[in-house]
Amino acid sequence: MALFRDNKNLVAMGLLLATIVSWFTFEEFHGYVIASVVIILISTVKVKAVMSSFMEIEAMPGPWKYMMNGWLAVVCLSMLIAELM
Amino acid sequence: MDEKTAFRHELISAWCGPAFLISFIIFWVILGQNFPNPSPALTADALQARYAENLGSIRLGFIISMIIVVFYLPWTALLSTQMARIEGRFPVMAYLQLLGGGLTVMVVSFSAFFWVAAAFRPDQDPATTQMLTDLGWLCIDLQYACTTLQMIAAALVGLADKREVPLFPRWACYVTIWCGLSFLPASLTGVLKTGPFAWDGILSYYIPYACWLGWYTIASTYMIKEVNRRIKASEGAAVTSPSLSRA
Amino acid sequence: MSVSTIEKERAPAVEEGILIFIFADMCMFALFFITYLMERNADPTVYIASQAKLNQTLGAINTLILLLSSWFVVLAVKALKRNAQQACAVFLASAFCCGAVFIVNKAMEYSAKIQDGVTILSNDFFMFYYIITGIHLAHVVGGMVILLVLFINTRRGKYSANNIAAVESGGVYWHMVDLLWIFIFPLIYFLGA
Repeated sequence: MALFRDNKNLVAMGLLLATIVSWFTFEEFHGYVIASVVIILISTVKVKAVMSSFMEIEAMPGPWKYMMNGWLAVVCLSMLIAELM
Repeated sequence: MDEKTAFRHELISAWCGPAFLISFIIFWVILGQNFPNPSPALTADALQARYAENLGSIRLGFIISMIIVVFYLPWTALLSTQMARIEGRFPVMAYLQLLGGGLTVMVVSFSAFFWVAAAFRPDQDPATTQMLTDLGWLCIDLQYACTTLQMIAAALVGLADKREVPLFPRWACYVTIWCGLSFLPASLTGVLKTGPFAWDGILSYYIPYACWLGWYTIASTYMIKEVNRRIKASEGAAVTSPSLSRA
Repeated sequence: MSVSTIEKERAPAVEEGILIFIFADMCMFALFFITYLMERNADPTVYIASQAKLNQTLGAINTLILLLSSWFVVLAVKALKRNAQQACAVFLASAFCCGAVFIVNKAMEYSAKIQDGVTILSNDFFMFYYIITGIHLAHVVGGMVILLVLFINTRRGKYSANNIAAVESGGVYWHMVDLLWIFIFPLIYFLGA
């Protein structure tokens, strides 16, 4: 995830852009499972970018990196499971 | 009062922590039938029946709860003393902690008192039983802020403790603040009757109460350690130079 | 080894205790999310019908505002690492203003809902809507208090490249507020089939 860590300004712009683009693309697609899954995945990537780039979790001491990633996996998976069930 | 007696009082107060914790779990949680606790969505008749089925256990649990809850007081007094030593001449936070702890006892005590009253006449109108039960739960769940202040006061002093061996480690202070703030969702018990934020829900009951008792356990552990450390230091000083033992 | 590599290798100077605090908060929210999803899947029709009444545009704008504020905090930390206290203060103030806009936006959203007669007691969806966004809002307010304190102290010259822990810790907290909203927005405003 070095890409995320080295270019914080780029990541920030990417996050803003991803938000705008996904908003205009998916605004009309409420209730479609595919749209929901794509939105969950986009959100997960965005959160991962915030964690790696802004919070620098990879450089944190001890188990923090794994705990943060674990949290992300749990939230992402529970959203996906709830959506696909 | 000689030093030895003072230390003995401190040690007894510190061990009131575990004493409160264990007796609270036995009497308030288990005998009081608070695990799981009655749902606010129960009908008055169902609630009445719940009291009738466990009458002896509920009465014993809450009557004794009102006695054992005072174990919290010497513990609070000791924590205040330990905080005052850190704060110095004008221990504002120690006083605040003392007030917070004292009022916490009254909040817990009054809720048990309402439930004893609810169980007092098992053949009364079920609506009365329901109202007294409501009063007990709303009393304990909405008036947490004194306890939050108590915890935050302790944490702030803990964080400012610059001694070589501090009273609380820094992580424990942050955990304390978080636990104190975790009570906030319990305010929703004032309006909700179902779901995770009702007074039998995970986010208004199980997590806040676990956080309160969890903090209490952590704080008790470090307070007992501090008292033992002081006793040891004083014994060591007495052996090396008897004349300086009062310094 | 160049200066920039050292900077990248160095762990952020955030105390263990603050990380515990932040992670506990995140777990609390994860629990909110999971309970929400479980309750929603038990009774989807009410949730989907109620969700349609929300103002998605305001929610999306709030996502942008928080991302922007996180960026400002990143820039503030970078500026402080260069010992540019003045710039750091400006960025912190900008992040604070973003927080204020977020609150105004949320207040507009809530008041519109309340005027329509939608309250926390309307149904289970709105209970979750008000509680999850409300507790998140409390985190925004808390974060703004932290940003304000950091701003004042930076103006007084209390922080520098060698004394950066407070700003980095406050920054990590603010990023947490941001990343929670990145999940809350789709969860409450969009998802559900």
